[in-house]
Amino acid sequence: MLLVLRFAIALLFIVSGAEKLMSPRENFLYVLQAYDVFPGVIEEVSSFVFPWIELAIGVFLALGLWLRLAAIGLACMSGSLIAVVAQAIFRKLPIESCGCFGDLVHLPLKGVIILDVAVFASALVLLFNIKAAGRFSLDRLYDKASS
Amino acid sequence: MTRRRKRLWPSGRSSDRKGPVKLTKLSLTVVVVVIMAGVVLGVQALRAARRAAAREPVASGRTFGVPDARVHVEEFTDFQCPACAQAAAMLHEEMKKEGARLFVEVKHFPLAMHRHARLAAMAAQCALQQNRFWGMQESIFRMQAAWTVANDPTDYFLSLARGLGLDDEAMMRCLSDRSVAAVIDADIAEGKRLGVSATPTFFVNGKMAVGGPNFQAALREALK
Repeated sequence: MLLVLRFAIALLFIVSGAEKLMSPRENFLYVLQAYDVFPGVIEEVSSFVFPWIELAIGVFLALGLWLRLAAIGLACMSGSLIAVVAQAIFRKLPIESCGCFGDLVHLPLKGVIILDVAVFASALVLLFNIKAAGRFSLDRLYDKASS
Repeated sequence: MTRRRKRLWPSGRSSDRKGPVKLTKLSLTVVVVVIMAGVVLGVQALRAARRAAAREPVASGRTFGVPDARVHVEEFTDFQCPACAQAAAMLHEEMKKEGARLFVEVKHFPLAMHRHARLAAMAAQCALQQNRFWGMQESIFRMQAAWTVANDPTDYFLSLARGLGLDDEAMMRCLSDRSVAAVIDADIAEGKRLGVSATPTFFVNGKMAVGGPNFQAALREALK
């Protein structure tokens, strides 16, 4: 079950990160600007960096390489997303689609906050069961080699 | 006979092995990151090359200005999107102000999540057949709040057309004309090839700007 959870979240993050990286950066910049929470420079930098972090978390979760760090990254990222989306809902910002999966899926804000809470909870489950979640992982291979 | 197992490294104590393991793990991390970056950057470069070749000329009724103007603006718009209505008003102001320095092309990009956007695009395209594209565009955006909530906005669009003095029957026929729908499909396909996913998206001298404020910044930069 933990393994399925790990691979499902990895897939989610790989698809989401890759989709943003494959489409022009200006699209994601527009998404960030719609949330109206960061100053302009941070929005610009985030539009470059965020999709790479998303993809990296997905890849490292799938490979099981630095799994604990990847799970911590996952928790931090989903926690931040919950805060950003919640403030948009609270302020009733006119955002029709979250923009979290580029052009692939359009989710309303209330739908995306449920997804983010689920991902955050999953990240905590993975973190507290890191050994069980680490089956079929490169970390496990390295641990065996070093013991 | 005892078989000696091959070891990754010769040292006997496990604490001695942690150093080389960590080093190898770091090396593998670098390899993973390099492969990931290589794949992404490679696909990005291929897509950018494909986008550069994707531009298509637009019908003359949807343009403003002369093609040899200093600044070319290509707009992908959705009539049901509130930000597009604001951006269109902004663009019209710029067209009045900058005049000969601007060449503007409007292309349709009705988003799937806006249920009446495609019909609105058809209505604007039909008005173009009677040389009233710009007037119809302005009317559709002005009345956006009203027809957006209608179950079937056809009557709204017909009354807007009547207000502009357009032929009612020709409009009715045109709204179900497949060749008009094909024009909109071609615009959408071009937009997708260019990487458009939100509206309004502008290309100012080929540089992409999504949303009104980004468009204004890009336009100011181009007009400097």
